[in-house]
Amino acid sequence: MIRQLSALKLRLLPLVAAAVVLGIPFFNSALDHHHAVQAAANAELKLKNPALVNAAPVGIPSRIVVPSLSIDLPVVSQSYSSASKTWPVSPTEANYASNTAPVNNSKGQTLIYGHSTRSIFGPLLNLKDNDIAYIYTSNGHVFKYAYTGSQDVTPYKLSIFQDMAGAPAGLKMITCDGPYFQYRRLMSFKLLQAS
Amino acid sequence: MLKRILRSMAAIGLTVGMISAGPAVLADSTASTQGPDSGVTVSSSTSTTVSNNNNVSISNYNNQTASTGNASVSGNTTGGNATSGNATNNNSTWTSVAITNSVPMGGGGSVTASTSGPNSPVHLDMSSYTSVTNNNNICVTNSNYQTATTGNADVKHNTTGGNATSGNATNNNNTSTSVSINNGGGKGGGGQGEGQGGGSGSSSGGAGGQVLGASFTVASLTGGGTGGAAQLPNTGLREAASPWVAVTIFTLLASAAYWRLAISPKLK
Repeated sequence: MIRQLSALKLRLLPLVAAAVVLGIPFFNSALDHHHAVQAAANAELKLKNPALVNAAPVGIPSRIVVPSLSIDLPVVSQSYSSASKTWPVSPTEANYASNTAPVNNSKGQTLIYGHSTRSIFGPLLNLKDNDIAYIYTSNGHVFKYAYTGSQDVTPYKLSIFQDMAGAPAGLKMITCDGPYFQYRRLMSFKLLQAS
Repeated sequence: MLKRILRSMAAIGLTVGMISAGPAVLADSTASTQGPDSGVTVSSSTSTTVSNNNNVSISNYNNQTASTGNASVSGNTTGGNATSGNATNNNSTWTSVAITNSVPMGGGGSVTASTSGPNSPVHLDMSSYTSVTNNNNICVTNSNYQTATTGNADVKHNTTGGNATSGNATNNNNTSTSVSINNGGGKGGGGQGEGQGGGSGSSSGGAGGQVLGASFTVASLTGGGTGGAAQLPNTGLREAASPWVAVTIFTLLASAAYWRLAISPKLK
Protein backbone atom coordinates (compact mmCIF):
# COMPACT_ATOMS: atom_id res chain seq x y z
CA MET A 1 0.00 0.00 0.00
CA ILE A 2 2.78 2.33 0.95
CA ARG A 3 4.64 1.40 -2.19
CA GLN A 4 1.56 2.10 -4.31
CA LEU A 5 1.10 5.45 -2.67
CA SER A 6 4.76 6.25 -3.15
CA ALA A 7 4.58 5.31 -6.80
CA LEU A 8 1.49 7.46 -7.21
CA LYS A 9 3.29 10.39 -5.66
CA LEU A 10 6.09 10.08 -8.15
CA ARG A 11 3.57 9.93 -10.95
CA LEU A 12 2.11 13.21 -9.73
CA LEU A 13 5.44 15.01 -10.10
CA PRO A 14 4.93 15.80 -13.84
CA LEU A 15 1.62 17.41 -12.98
CA VAL A 16 3.31 19.50 -10.30
CA ALA A 17 5.92 20.53 -12.87
CA ALA A 18 3.13 21.47 -15.28
CA ALA A 19 1.52 23.62 -12.60
CA VAL A 20 4.85 25.38 -12.03
CA VAL A 21 5.15 26.09 -15.76
CA LEU A 22 1.62 27.48 -15.86
CA GLY A 23 2.43 29.72 -12.91
CA ILE A 24 5.49 31.35 -14.46
CA PRO A 25 3.58 34.23 -16.17
CA PHE A 26 1.81 35.03 -12.91
CA PHE A 27 5.10 34.95 -11.07
CA ASN A 28 6.68 37.30 -13.64
CA SER A 29 3.75 39.66 -13.37
CA ALA A 30 4.02 39.73 -9.59
CA LEU A 31 7.76 40.32 -9.86
CA ASP A 32 7.27 43.25 -12.27
CA HIS A 33 4.71 44.75 -9.94
CA HIS A 34 7.06 44.35 -7.00
CA HIS A 35 9.85 46.11 -8.89
CA ALA A 36 7.60 48.99 -9.90
CA VAL A 37 6.31 49.43 -6.35
CA GLN A 38 9.88 49.34 -5.05
CA ALA A 39 10.94 51.98 -7.58
CA ALA A 40 8.01 54.14 -6.52
CA ALA A 41 9.01 53.81 -2.87
CA ASN A 42 12.56 54.88 -3.73
CA ALA A 43 11.21 57.86 -5.65
CA GLU A 44 9.08 58.90 -2.67
CA LEU A 45 12.12 58.64 -0.45
CA LYS A 46 14.04 60.94 -2.75
CA LEU A 47 11.17 63.40 -2.89
CA LYS A 48 11.14 63.59 0.90
CA ASN A 49 14.86 64.27 1.04
CA PRO A 50 15.57 66.67 -1.81
CA ALA A 51 19.23 67.35 -2.41
CA LEU A 52 18.65 70.84 -3.72
CA VAL A 53 16.39 73.28 -1.94
CA ASN A 54 15.14 76.44 -3.65
CA ALA A 55 16.60 75.29 -6.98
CA ALA A 56 14.55 74.87 -10.13
CA PRO A 57 14.91 71.19 -11.01
CA VAL A 58 14.99 70.44 -14.71
CA GLY A 59 16.35 67.54 -16.70
CA ILE A 60 16.01 65.07 -19.53
CA PRO A 61 13.79 62.12 -18.57
CA SER A 62 15.65 58.86 -18.19
CA ARG A 63 13.16 56.57 -16.46
CA ILE A 64 9.41 56.34 -15.99
CA VAL A 65 7.59 54.47 -13.24
CA VAL A 66 3.84 53.94 -13.01
CA PRO A 67 3.46 51.63 -10.00
CA SER A 68 -0.27 50.99 -10.34
CA LEU A 69 0.29 49.48 -13.80
CA SER A 70 3.63 47.81 -13.05
CA ILE A 71 5.42 50.04 -15.54
CA ASP A 72 9.10 50.70 -14.95
CA LEU A 73 10.93 51.62 -18.16
CA PRO A 74 14.01 53.51 -19.27
CA VAL A 75 13.36 56.59 -21.40
CA VAL A 76 15.39 57.58 -24.47
CA SER A 77 15.37 60.93 -26.25
CA GLN A 78 14.01 60.96 -29.78
CA SER A 79 13.41 63.57 -32.42
CA TYR A 80 11.35 63.54 -35.58
CA SER A 81 13.22 62.30 -38.61
CA SER A 82 12.43 64.48 -41.58
CA ALA A 83 14.24 61.99 -43.80
CA SER A 84 11.96 59.07 -42.97
CA LYS A 85 9.09 61.34 -41.92
CA THR A 86 8.56 59.34 -38.77
CA TRP A 87 9.19 59.49 -35.08
CA PRO A 88 11.64 56.81 -33.97
CA VAL A 89 9.92 54.50 -31.48
CA SER A 90 12.03 52.21 -29.36
CA PRO A 91 10.60 48.68 -29.14
CA THR A 92 11.72 48.17 -25.56
CA GLU A 93 11.81 51.65 -24.00
CA ALA A 94 9.73 54.75 -23.56
CA ASN A 95 10.61 57.74 -25.73
CA TYR A 96 10.99 61.43 -24.91
CA ALA A 97 10.09 63.88 -27.68
CA SER A 98 13.09 66.20 -27.51
CA ASN A 99 11.26 69.12 -29.11
CA THR A 100 9.09 69.40 -26.01
CA ALA A 101 10.15 70.92 -22.71
CA PRO A 102 12.44 68.90 -20.49
CA VAL A 103 10.99 67.74 -17.22
CA ASN A 104 10.69 70.82 -15.01
CA ASN A 105 8.59 72.49 -12.36
CA SER A 106 8.11 75.92 -13.88
CA LYS A 107 6.75 75.98 -17.44
CA GLY A 108 6.19 73.69 -20.39
CA GLN A 109 4.99 70.12 -20.62
CA THR A 110 7.05 67.07 -21.44
CA LEU A 111 5.91 64.45 -23.97
CA ILE A 112 6.76 60.80 -23.52
CA TYR A 113 5.48 58.22 -25.97
CA GLY A 114 5.75 54.50 -26.42
CA HIS A 115 4.38 51.49 -28.24
CA SER A 116 0.94 50.30 -27.23
CA THR A 117 2.26 46.84 -26.47
CA ARG A 118 1.78 44.99 -23.21
CA SER A 119 5.38 45.49 -22.20
CA ILE A 120 5.53 49.23 -22.95
CA PHE A 121 2.57 51.63 -22.83
CA GLY A 122 -0.36 49.29 -23.57
CA PRO A 123 -1.34 49.20 -19.88
CA LEU A 124 -1.64 53.01 -19.86
CA LEU A 125 -5.02 52.63 -21.58
CA ASN A 126 -6.28 51.43 -18.17
CA LEU A 127 -5.12 54.48 -16.21
CA LYS A 128 -7.45 55.75 -13.51
CA ASP A 129 -7.77 59.28 -12.18
CA ASN A 130 -4.98 60.29 -9.80
CA ASP A 131 -2.80 57.32 -10.70
CA ILE A 132 0.77 58.33 -9.94
CA ALA A 133 3.70 58.47 -12.36
CA TYR A 134 7.30 59.17 -11.45
CA ILE A 135 9.90 60.54 -13.86
CA TYR A 136 13.59 60.28 -13.13
CA THR A 137 15.93 62.64 -14.97
CA SER A 138 19.44 62.00 -16.19
CA ASN A 139 20.80 64.60 -13.75
CA GLY A 140 19.27 63.01 -10.66
CA HIS A 141 15.95 64.74 -10.17
CA VAL A 142 12.64 62.98 -9.51
CA PHE A 143 9.24 64.33 -10.48
CA LYS A 144 5.88 63.06 -9.29
CA TYR A 145 2.73 63.44 -11.39
CA ALA A 146 -0.94 62.52 -11.06
CA TYR A 147 -3.10 61.38 -13.97
CA THR A 148 -5.88 63.85 -14.74
CA GLY A 149 -7.50 62.58 -17.94
CA SER A 150 -7.05 61.63 -21.56
CA GLN A 151 -8.40 62.20 -25.03
CA ASP A 152 -8.11 60.44 -28.36
CA VAL A 153 -6.72 62.69 -31.08
CA THR A 154 -5.81 62.20 -34.71
CA PRO A 155 -2.17 61.68 -35.65
CA TYR A 156 -2.17 65.12 -37.26
CA LYS A 157 -3.13 67.17 -34.24
CA LEU A 158 0.22 68.94 -34.08
CA SER A 159 -1.22 71.88 -32.18
CA ILE A 160 -0.59 69.95 -28.98
CA PHE A 161 3.08 70.91 -29.21
CA GLN A 162 2.24 74.60 -29.13
CA ASP A 163 -0.23 74.07 -26.31
CA MET A 164 2.27 72.11 -24.28
CA ALA A 165 5.00 74.72 -24.68
CA GLY A 166 2.81 77.43 -23.20
CA ALA A 167 1.20 75.34 -20.48
CA PRO A 168 2.31 75.13 -16.84
CA ALA A 169 4.73 72.37 -15.95
CA GLY A 170 3.25 68.94 -16.53
CA LEU A 171 3.54 65.67 -18.38
CA LYS A 172 1.78 64.13 -21.34
CA MET A 173 2.05 60.60 -22.63
CA ILE A 174 1.02 59.19 -25.99
CA THR A 175 0.33 55.72 -27.20
CA CYS A 176 -1.75 54.41 -30.06
CA ASP A 177 -5.40 53.51 -29.66
CA GLY A 178 -8.17 52.13 -31.82
CA PRO A 179 -8.55 48.86 -33.71
CA TYR A 180 -6.32 50.10 -36.51
CA PHE A 181 -4.17 52.35 -34.32
CA GLN A 182 -5.85 55.26 -36.01
CA TYR A 183 -5.95 57.39 -32.85
CA ARG A 184 -3.38 58.70 -30.44
CA ARG A 185 -4.34 58.44 -26.78
CA LEU A 186 -3.09 61.68 -25.23
CA MET A 187 -2.86 61.32 -21.46
CA SER A 188 -2.37 64.32 -19.18
CA PHE A 189 -0.61 64.42 -15.84
CA LYS A 190 -0.28 67.29 -13.41
CA LEU A 191 2.87 67.93 -11.44
CA LEU A 192 2.62 67.12 -7.75
CA GLN A 193 6.18 67.25 -6.48
CA ALA A 194 9.77 67.63 -7.63
CA SER A 195 13.10 67.07 -6.02
CA MET B 1 14.78 113.75 58.21
CA LEU B 2 14.15 115.79 55.10
CA LYS B 3 17.41 114.48 53.72
CA ARG B 4 16.29 110.87 54.25
CA ILE B 5 12.97 111.53 52.52
CA LEU B 6 14.79 113.03 49.58
CA ARG B 7 17.08 110.00 49.43
CA SER B 8 14.11 107.63 49.45
CA MET B 9 12.41 109.56 46.65
CA ALA B 10 15.63 109.49 44.69
CA ALA B 11 15.86 105.72 45.19
CA ILE B 12 12.27 105.27 43.90
CA GLY B 13 13.14 107.38 40.90
CA LEU B 14 16.17 105.20 40.28
CA THR B 15 14.04 102.03 40.37
CA VAL B 16 11.51 103.45 37.93
CA GLY B 17 14.33 104.53 35.72
CA MET B 18 15.85 101.05 35.65
CA ILE B 19 12.53 99.33 34.95
CA SER B 20 11.78 101.65 32.07
CA ALA B 21 15.28 101.46 30.65
CA GLY B 22 15.69 97.65 30.86
CA PRO B 23 13.22 96.39 28.25
CA ALA B 24 14.06 99.18 25.83
CA VAL B 25 17.07 97.31 24.67
CA LEU B 26 18.44 98.40 21.32
CA ALA B 27 15.73 100.95 20.99
CA ASP B 28 15.80 104.61 21.74
CA SER B 29 15.97 105.04 25.47
CA THR B 30 16.74 107.82 27.85
CA ALA B 31 17.63 107.60 31.53
CA SER B 32 18.30 110.45 33.83
CA THR B 33 18.70 110.93 37.49
CA GLN B 34 19.69 113.61 39.80
CA GLY B 35 21.11 113.75 43.27
CA PRO B 36 23.85 112.10 45.26
CA ASP B 37 24.51 108.35 45.18
CA SER B 38 22.02 107.87 42.36
CA GLY B 39 23.29 105.32 39.83
CA VAL B 40 21.69 104.21 36.53
CA THR B 41 22.74 100.87 35.10
CA VAL B 42 21.49 99.42 31.79
CA SER B 43 23.00 96.28 30.36
CA SER B 44 21.78 94.30 27.36
CA SER B 45 23.07 91.84 24.81
CA THR B 46 21.49 90.52 21.59
CA SER B 47 22.85 87.80 19.34
CA THR B 48 21.44 86.81 15.92
CA THR B 49 22.73 84.15 13.54
CA VAL B 50 21.37 83.76 10.00
CA SER B 51 22.36 81.36 7.24
CA ASN B 52 21.32 81.75 3.60
CA ASN B 53 21.79 78.72 1.38
CA ASN B 54 21.06 79.37 -2.29
CA ASN B 55 21.45 76.32 -4.50
CA VAL B 56 20.64 76.92 -8.14
CA SER B 57 20.90 74.30 -10.85
CA ILE B 58 20.04 75.21 -14.43
CA SER B 59 20.15 72.88 -17.41
CA ASN B 60 19.16 73.91 -20.91
CA TYR B 61 19.14 71.21 -23.54
CA ASN B 62 18.55 71.86 -27.22
CA ASN B 63 18.53 69.08 -29.77
CA GLN B 64 17.74 69.98 -33.36
CA THR B 65 18.00 68.16 -36.63
CA ALA B 66 17.21 69.59 -40.08
CA SER B 67 17.58 67.76 -43.36
CA THR B 68 16.58 68.58 -46.88
CA GLY B 69 15.96 66.13 -49.65
CA ASN B 70 18.09 65.29 -52.62
CA ALA B 71 17.92 67.12 -55.94
CA SER B 72 18.18 64.77 -58.85
CA VAL B 73 17.80 65.22 -62.61
CA SER B 74 18.15 61.98 -64.49
CA GLY B 75 16.82 60.01 -67.40
CA ASN B 76 15.51 62.94 -69.43
CA THR B 77 16.05 63.79 -73.03
CA THR B 78 16.33 67.37 -71.93
CA GLY B 79 16.84 67.64 -68.23
CA GLY B 80 15.18 70.41 -66.27
CA ASN B 81 16.37 72.07 -63.13
CA ALA B 82 15.96 70.56 -59.67
CA THR B 83 16.53 72.45 -56.49
CA SER B 84 16.66 71.19 -52.95
CA GLY B 85 15.73 73.53 -50.12
CA ASN B 86 17.81 74.87 -47.30
CA ALA B 87 18.26 73.14 -43.97
CA THR B 88 18.27 75.57 -41.09
CA ASN B 89 18.24 75.23 -37.32
CA ASN B 90 17.59 78.23 -35.13
CA ASN B 91 17.70 78.22 -31.38
CA SER B 92 17.53 80.98 -28.87
CA THR B 93 17.70 80.27 -25.18
CA TRP B 94 17.54 82.90 -22.50
CA THR B 95 17.77 81.98 -18.87
CA SER B 96 17.58 84.42 -16.03
CA VAL B 97 17.84 83.68 -12.34
CA ALA B 98 17.57 86.37 -9.73
CA ILE B 99 17.74 85.72 -6.03
CA THR B 100 17.43 88.48 -3.49
CA ASN B 101 17.98 87.84 0.18
CA SER B 102 16.59 90.96 1.71
CA VAL B 103 14.49 91.01 4.80
CA PRO B 104 15.47 93.97 6.96
CA MET B 105 16.21 93.26 10.55
CA GLY B 106 15.90 95.85 13.26
CA GLY B 107 19.14 97.46 14.27
CA GLY B 108 20.40 99.04 17.42
CA GLY B 109 18.81 102.10 18.81
CA SER B 110 20.28 105.01 20.69
CA VAL B 111 20.63 105.50 24.36
CA THR B 112 21.11 108.71 26.16
CA ALA B 113 21.78 108.93 29.84
CA SER B 114 22.59 111.91 31.92
CA THR B 115 22.95 112.63 35.58
CA SER B 116 24.30 115.34 37.70
CA GLY B 117 25.42 115.71 41.21
CA PRO B 118 28.07 114.09 43.32
CA ASN B 119 28.48 110.32 43.60
CA SER B 120 25.90 109.57 40.91
CA PRO B 121 27.30 106.86 38.66
CA VAL B 122 25.62 106.03 35.34
CA HIS B 123 26.59 102.82 33.57
CA LEU B 124 25.15 101.76 30.19
CA ASP B 125 26.43 98.65 28.47
CA MET B 126 24.70 97.49 25.29
CA SER B 127 25.98 95.04 22.74
CA SER B 128 24.46 93.46 19.64
CA TYR B 129 25.96 90.69 17.53
CA THR B 130 24.63 89.56 14.15
CA SER B 131 26.22 86.82 12.09
CA VAL B 132 25.14 86.25 8.45
CA THR B 133 26.47 83.32 6.45
CA ASN B 134 25.72 83.13 2.73
CA ASN B 135 26.33 79.96 0.76
CA ASN B 136 25.66 80.35 -2.97
CA ASN B 137 26.05 77.29 -5.17
CA ILE B 138 25.37 77.90 -8.85
CA CYS B 139 25.46 75.24 -11.54
CA VAL B 140 24.60 76.18 -15.13
CA THR B 141 24.65 73.71 -18.00
CA ASN B 142 23.79 74.76 -21.55
CA SER B 143 23.88 71.98 -24.10
CA ASN B 144 23.21 72.61 -27.77
CA TYR B 145 23.18 69.82 -30.32
CA GLN B 146 22.38 70.85 -33.88
CA THR B 147 22.64 68.98 -37.12
CA ALA B 148 21.75 70.42 -40.51
CA THR B 149 22.14 68.34 -43.63
CA THR B 150 21.37 69.17 -47.22
CA GLY B 151 20.68 66.61 -49.88
CA ASN B 152 22.76 65.58 -52.83
CA ALA B 153 22.61 67.33 -56.18
CA ASP B 154 22.69 64.73 -58.91
CA VAL B 155 22.53 65.17 -62.70
CA LYS B 156 22.94 62.07 -64.82
CA HIS B 157 21.67 60.05 -67.74
CA ASN B 158 20.29 63.08 -69.54
CA THR B 159 20.79 63.84 -73.16
CA THR B 160 20.97 67.47 -72.18
CA GLY B 161 21.49 67.81 -68.51
CA GLY B 162 19.76 70.46 -66.45
CA ASN B 163 20.87 72.00 -63.20
CA ALA B 164 20.52 70.38 -59.82
CA THR B 165 21.12 72.59 -56.83
CA SER B 166 21.34 71.60 -53.22
CA GLY B 167 20.43 74.12 -50.55
CA ASN B 168 22.42 75.55 -47.71
CA ALA B 169 22.89 73.93 -44.31
CA THR B 170 22.84 76.45 -41.48
CA ASN B 171 22.90 76.20 -37.70
CA ASN B 172 22.19 79.24 -35.55
CA ASN B 173 22.29 79.25 -31.81
CA ASN B 174 22.07 82.07 -29.28
CA THR B 175 22.41 81.20 -25.64
CA SER B 176 22.35 83.74 -22.88
CA THR B 177 22.45 83.01 -19.19
CA SER B 178 22.16 85.52 -16.42
CA VAL B 179 22.52 84.69 -12.75
CA SER B 180 22.22 87.42 -10.17
CA ILE B 181 22.35 86.89 -6.45
CA ASN B 182 22.07 89.72 -4.02
CA ASN B 183 22.91 88.80 -0.46
CA GLY B 184 22.10 92.02 1.30
CA GLY B 185 22.99 90.74 4.75
CA GLY B 186 24.98 93.12 6.92
CA LYS B 187 26.12 93.25 10.44
CA GLY B 188 23.44 94.31 12.85
CA GLY B 189 23.87 97.53 14.73
CA GLY B 190 24.56 97.91 18.36
CA GLY B 191 26.05 100.40 20.71
CA GLN B 192 27.69 100.99 24.01
CA GLY B 193 27.44 104.00 26.21
CA GLU B 194 28.92 104.82 29.56
CA GLY B 195 28.63 107.73 31.88
CA GLN B 196 29.98 108.18 35.34
CA GLY B 197 30.00 110.58 38.20
CA GLY B 198 27.78 113.30 37.06
CA GLY B 199 28.91 113.12 33.49
CA SER B 200 26.76 112.14 30.58
CA GLY B 201 27.02 109.32 28.02
CA SER B 202 25.30 108.70 24.73
CA SER B 203 25.35 105.98 22.14
CA SER B 204 23.67 105.32 18.84
CA GLY B 205 23.42 101.97 17.09
CA GLY B 206 24.17 101.21 13.49
CA ALA B 207 21.83 100.26 10.72
CA GLY B 208 19.95 96.95 10.72
CA GLY B 209 21.13 93.91 8.76
CA GLN B 210 19.34 92.17 5.86
CA VAL B 211 18.83 88.47 5.99
CA LEU B 212 16.78 85.52 4.71
CA GLY B 213 15.81 84.67 1.17
CA ALA B 214 12.80 86.42 -0.24
CA SER B 215 12.36 85.98 -3.96
CA PHE B 216 13.35 83.44 -6.60
CA THR B 217 12.70 83.57 -10.31
CA VAL B 218 13.57 81.24 -13.14
CA ALA B 219 12.57 82.10 -16.64
CA SER B 220 12.80 80.21 -19.89
CA LEU B 221 13.01 76.55 -20.69
CA THR B 222 13.55 75.05 -24.09
CA GLY B 223 10.67 73.35 -25.83
CA GLY B 224 7.92 74.20 -28.21
CA GLY B 225 7.40 73.85 -31.91
CA THR B 226 6.60 70.67 -33.71
CA GLY B 227 10.21 69.75 -34.24
CA GLY B 228 9.45 69.60 -37.96
CA ALA B 229 7.03 66.76 -37.40
CA ALA B 230 4.22 66.12 -39.85
CA GLN B 231 2.31 63.95 -37.42
CA LEU B 232 2.31 62.56 -33.92
CA PRO B 233 4.35 59.44 -33.11
CA ASN B 234 2.98 56.23 -34.55
CA THR B 235 3.11 53.84 -31.63
CA GLY B 236 0.82 51.15 -33.00
CA LEU B 237 2.41 47.74 -33.11
CA ARG B 238 0.66 44.41 -33.69
CA GLU B 239 1.91 41.98 -31.13
CA ALA B 240 2.43 38.39 -32.03
CA ALA B 241 0.60 35.90 -29.85
CA SER B 242 2.50 35.34 -26.67
CA PRO B 243 4.49 32.10 -26.69
CA TRP B 244 3.06 31.47 -23.27
CA VAL B 245 -0.33 30.87 -24.84
CA ALA B 246 1.06 27.94 -26.80
CA VAL B 247 3.01 26.71 -23.80
CA THR B 248 -0.08 26.87 -21.61
CA ILE B 249 -2.26 25.01 -24.09
CA PHE B 250 0.37 22.35 -24.62
CA THR B 251 0.92 21.94 -20.89
CA LEU B 252 -2.79 21.60 -20.16
CA LEU B 253 -3.31 19.06 -22.93
CA ALA B 254 -0.28 17.05 -21.87
CA SER B 255 -1.40 17.12 -18.27
CA ALA B 256 -4.89 15.93 -19.17
CA ALA B 257 -3.52 13.09 -21.28
CA TYR B 258 -1.06 12.13 -18.57
CA TRP B 259 -3.81 12.12 -15.98
CA ARG B 260 -5.96 9.88 -18.10
CA LEU B 261 -3.23 7.43 -18.97
CA ALA B 262 -1.01 7.38 -15.90
CA ILE B 263 -2.99 8.53 -12.90
CA SER B 264 -6.60 7.68 -13.48
CA PRO B 265 -6.10 3.88 -13.90
CA LYS B 266 -4.24 3.76 -10.60
CA LEU B 267 -7.12 5.36 -8.78
CA LYS B 268 -9.56 2.67 -9.80
